[in-house]
Amino acid sequence: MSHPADRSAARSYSRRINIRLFALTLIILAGAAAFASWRALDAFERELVPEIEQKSVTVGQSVNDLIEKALAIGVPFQQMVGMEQFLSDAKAPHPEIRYLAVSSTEGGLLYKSVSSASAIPDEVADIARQVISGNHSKWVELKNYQNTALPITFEDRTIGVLHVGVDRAFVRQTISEILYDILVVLLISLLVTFEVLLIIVAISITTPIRLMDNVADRLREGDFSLAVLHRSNDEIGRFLEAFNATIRSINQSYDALLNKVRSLQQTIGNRVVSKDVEDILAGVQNRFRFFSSEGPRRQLRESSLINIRTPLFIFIFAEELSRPFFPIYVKELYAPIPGLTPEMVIGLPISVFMLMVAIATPFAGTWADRYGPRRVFMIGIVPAVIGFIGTGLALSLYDLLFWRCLCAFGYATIYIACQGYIADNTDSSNRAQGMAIFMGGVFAAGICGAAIGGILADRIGFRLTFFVSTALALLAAVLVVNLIDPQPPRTGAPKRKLRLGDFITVLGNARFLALLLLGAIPGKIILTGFLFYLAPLYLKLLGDNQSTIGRVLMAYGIVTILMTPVFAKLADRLGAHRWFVGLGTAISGLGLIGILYQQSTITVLGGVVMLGLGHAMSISPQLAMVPEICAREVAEIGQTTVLSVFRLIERMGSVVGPFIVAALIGAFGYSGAMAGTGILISSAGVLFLAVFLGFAASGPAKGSKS
Amino acid sequence: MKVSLTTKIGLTIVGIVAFVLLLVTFLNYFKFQKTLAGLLDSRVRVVSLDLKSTVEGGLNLGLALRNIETLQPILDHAREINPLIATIQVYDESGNRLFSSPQSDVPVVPAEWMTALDSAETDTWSLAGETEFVVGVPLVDNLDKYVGGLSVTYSRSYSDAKVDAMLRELGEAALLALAIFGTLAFLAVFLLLRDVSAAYRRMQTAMTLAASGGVDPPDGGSRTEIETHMLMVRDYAAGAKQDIDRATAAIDEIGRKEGLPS
Amino acid sequence: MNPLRLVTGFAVFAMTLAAVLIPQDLSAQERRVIDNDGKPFRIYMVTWRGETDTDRGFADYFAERNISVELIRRDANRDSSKFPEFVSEINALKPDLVYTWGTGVSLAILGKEVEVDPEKHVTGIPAVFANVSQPIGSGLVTSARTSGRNITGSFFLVPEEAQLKAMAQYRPFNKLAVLYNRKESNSRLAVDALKDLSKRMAFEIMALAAPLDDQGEAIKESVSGMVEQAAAWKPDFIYIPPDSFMSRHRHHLSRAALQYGVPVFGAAEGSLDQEEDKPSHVLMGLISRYYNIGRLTGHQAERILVNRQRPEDIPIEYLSRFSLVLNMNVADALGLYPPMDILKIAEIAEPAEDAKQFVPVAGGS
Repeated sequence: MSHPADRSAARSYSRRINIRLFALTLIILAGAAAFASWRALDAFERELVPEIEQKSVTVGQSVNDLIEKALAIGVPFQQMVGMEQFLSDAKAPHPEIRYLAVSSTEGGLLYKSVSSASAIPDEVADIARQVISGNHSKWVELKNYQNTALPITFEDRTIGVLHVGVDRAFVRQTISEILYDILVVLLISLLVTFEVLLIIVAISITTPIRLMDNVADRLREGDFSLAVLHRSNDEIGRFLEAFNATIRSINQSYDALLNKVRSLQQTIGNRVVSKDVEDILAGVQNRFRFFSSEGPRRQLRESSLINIRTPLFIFIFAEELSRPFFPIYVKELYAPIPGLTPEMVIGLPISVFMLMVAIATPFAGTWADRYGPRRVFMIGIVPAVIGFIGTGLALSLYDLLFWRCLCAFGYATIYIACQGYIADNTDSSNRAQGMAIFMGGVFAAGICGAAIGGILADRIGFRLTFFVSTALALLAAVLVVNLIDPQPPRTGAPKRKLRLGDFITVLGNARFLALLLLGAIPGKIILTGFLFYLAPLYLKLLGDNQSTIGRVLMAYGIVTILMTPVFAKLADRLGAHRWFVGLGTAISGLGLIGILYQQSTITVLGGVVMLGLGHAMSISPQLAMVPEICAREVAEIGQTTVLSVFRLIERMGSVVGPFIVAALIGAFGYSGAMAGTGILISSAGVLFLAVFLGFAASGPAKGSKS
Repeated sequence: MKVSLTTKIGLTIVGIVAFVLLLVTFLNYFKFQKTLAGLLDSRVRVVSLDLKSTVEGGLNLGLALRNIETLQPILDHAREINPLIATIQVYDESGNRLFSSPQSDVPVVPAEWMTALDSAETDTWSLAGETEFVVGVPLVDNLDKYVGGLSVTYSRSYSDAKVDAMLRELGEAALLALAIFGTLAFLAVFLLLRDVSAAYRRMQTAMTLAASGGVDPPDGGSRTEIETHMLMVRDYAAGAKQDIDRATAAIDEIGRKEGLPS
Repeated sequence: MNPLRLVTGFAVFAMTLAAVLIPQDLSAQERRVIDNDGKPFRIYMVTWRGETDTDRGFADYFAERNISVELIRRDANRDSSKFPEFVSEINALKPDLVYTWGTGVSLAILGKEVEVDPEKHVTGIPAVFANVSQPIGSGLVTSARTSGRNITGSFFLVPEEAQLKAMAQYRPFNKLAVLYNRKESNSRLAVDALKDLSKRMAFEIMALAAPLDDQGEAIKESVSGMVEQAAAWKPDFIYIPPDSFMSRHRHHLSRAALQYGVPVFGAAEGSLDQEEDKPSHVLMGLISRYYNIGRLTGHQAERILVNRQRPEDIPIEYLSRFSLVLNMNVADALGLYPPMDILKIAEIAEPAEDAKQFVPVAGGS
């Protein structure tokens, strides 16, 4: 019915615009950041160099004090013992000082201590002679070093010179130390840019083009009953006005024609003539369809899925900000709870959050059906905002638990509201794509949240970071109000509610149970237990700052966002979902065992990357497996219900994750707990493979290829 | 008001650039603050540790802290050669001030110092007060008994002024970057969307002309696919209009035949 | 403006409150004289050879801490027959604490741990001992952790290992000559300890005991010969243990060592004493100063009297920092200058006599 060639032309056209804009923004952003950093370097150098000189003088004076004391008690200047050690000890606490050297009156070097990869410049001999003749200290900027020369006096005579050499690259290094942070900011802003440009281009270019395309297609079939509803003052908007005007004018002509026909028919009752008139009219009406001036004028308008993505992105981002430091924050508020080990208490807020999400989700689903996504989103934002403020102000662990419950309630509600919105605005043909947009936003927010949260926590502290979350959550609410139209409550049959019987039905399936216990639940345990709970605490213990912790956690999001589509396609094509689930689960734990060989940040990062890889392999195939192995149950109670049961039970893994890992910490310490978690999860994966390959070998149940 | 696509997208990009510059400025600012504070702190620390070893040398001789009479001139000298330092104070384990340069009448040191001293995990501690920074070291005698502390204070205003000036400077640099790269962004977006805008403007004209029965402007060979597509649509619409017009004409004809005024 | 202010408000308030209340409270306590229910603490002090720096450090400590004490001083004046008389006086006076100076006094008043006799020794009154060279070796106590009875005290000799480390820091050494008097138990114990350490720290040791005369006393004229004998072995250091014979003859000994260009290390304050008639040319020593030992003993007394700790709960302690005494005059004469690390912590002794004159011109380097 449409013209696919033209359609895809329009789509590739808007994609081309998107890519070009994205590339352009990338260049502009990198340029601006580079420019600002270059200016900053300049300013840093100007301001810090005098400070470094001052410090060199102080360190030099401290060294000279002892040299002069040695001289005073009779140690000859030429025969001082252990000077190298002494100078090296004096230099050690100051990484920017690259050498300390003592020149004699003749300018020759008597003693020195030089840091590795540094050399004392030749100019010091000259400088020494100048200092001795001038009898005052001197500061010189050499090629690689800033040399501060201080006179060594004995019996009121300058008999030598102490040189303090500071690496000129020191200031540059201070800037390069924040290079990682700046790169993360760039990466984040690119993700944000992508989100924002996507929505702007979608609203102002893609959507109108697609609508116009739709209308044009119908037009070619003679359907003039549609117009494009799009209001904007840009070129496209103005063109569309003209476009609509054309349609309108045709409709007006048709109206005029109708009027003529009517008045003609009123005035003459002649049947023959009447027949002629009707033939003519029918000729037009057969070929074309119009909107009648009385009837509602149908206009095409598309509720863009993109509209929900930005608020969701911002909200999830707000929630994820605390990811790299949350357990550390809890540790600061620690208060003992009888019957729980300290590690378990620290994990408790994460577990409680996950439990609350699990509890709130079914309610949120009901509300989303009753009130529509927009209102439910707004319902969710209230507890979330109160929860963020409360978490930031928390006085103790106990009230923190309460605030986190509110956050969890808001989180669950908003998550479901957004899912509902996508369900409402898609049909079976594009629902998968809609969900991909949804999950893409969630993952992107996870990446940005962890990284930015770490940077913020380092700079403004844990508590203020929660206020940033609050502000972002409010921003998300404002966007929802402006971007999402109120929608009537969903009509049609109300969704089937979960019943206890459903659980019994589904859990009776041994393979379903195995998938849950050996695939889905381990996946959640390692996610909350390791990534959310253990990793931040352990990295802190290794001495990493929050920015680094954030960057390590970010790796999980990057790997999953990149690899999930690849593995999902591969698993579908090979029809090997169970292999992917089993291997993925095994791989997700494997990386954690590496900590036994080396306790370092890199190993933890390795664990996080492997976890991401494992989850990228296993999560989508898990969902695909459910209908495969539950064909009977799906037929009985429907796929949605089976999936709901699956999701609900799976969430219990998130709840127990921190507890299991906390118990392992109590028994084996941090490294042991990390390795233990890895071994546990990997074994589950191996067991999964054994169980399912065993099934495949013994039973007739073959995975249906999709 | 007419808003062009270029303006819309250009402003979006400028917004993002502003956001990035804000973050970069923020990062640079905090880095500067941290580096400067680190330099000042380690400089004062060197002085503090030197003084500590002097005092403990005295304690080693068996002198009680309050009886090390040579201390006052040593403290005065240390302050004199380090203009950054505001005060140097030596106090006993109860916080009673024993020596101070410059001399002070207040008999005790601030209670926060004593708290910091008690909770210090390393051999030095630092405090950031409202108006001053403090670096402190505990003093231990040869009975391994903690006998008091030595604190060096330096004014906050010195580093605050520098940090504020840096913020201003970084801010100016960011604004400059925004101006330069914002303009570039607009220019680039304009170039990038020139064809799109032009195409839509042409299509608009074409549509308007069609509606008013005009003639197409000449095709300069720069027609995009979508434009061709739209022109086809337009021509089709025009055809439809002709059909309707023809039908109208036919109706009119019938009406005339029937003797009705048209 | 800053929301955190609200949160920390309470804490700041609490700290301000503390700032207002605590220092005054503490300073009030500081000014107050500490005493025993209105009376001074009574301390019975027994010394061996008149007042020493130890006793002065002990007394000064109380003054410093504002502790009111009444010191009952008794000196044996090198006469061991007076001890029983002191014991009965202590039992009659019932002071709050007994202080004993030196090994002989302490053993006589307090008894060896394994043979305490309530008839002959003070048992009912807490006691602190000072300047006992070998509290364990002499049998006064059997463990440094606790005396197991109503006494405590300090080690006043520096552990041999610490001394060897200080020497090595000054100048790495392979050969160590030890001159001692085998009649003195302190010296014998020290030589044994050094021989042990020579295996662990990998250096050669040569122990030379002074020859004895018919009465079994060490012959003082032999000192120069011993130095000559040692010097022929070309040691890096000559080591003098806490040996009263060698300390007494420090002048001869160290002067002879100068002639052979060998540095001398002293393990006790005695060998470093610069008296007019007996100047010392010992290069360096790592010692516990008598005065500081006195203060350490005072600190232990404070814990017993003021803090009401039981003496058996107070371990026998070393000073936490020893005094490294350096004779720059000798260093200069030998051309053997101290490394900067040592200079940083050393106490520079005032020489009573120029050392350079004793160094042969040719052997100066």
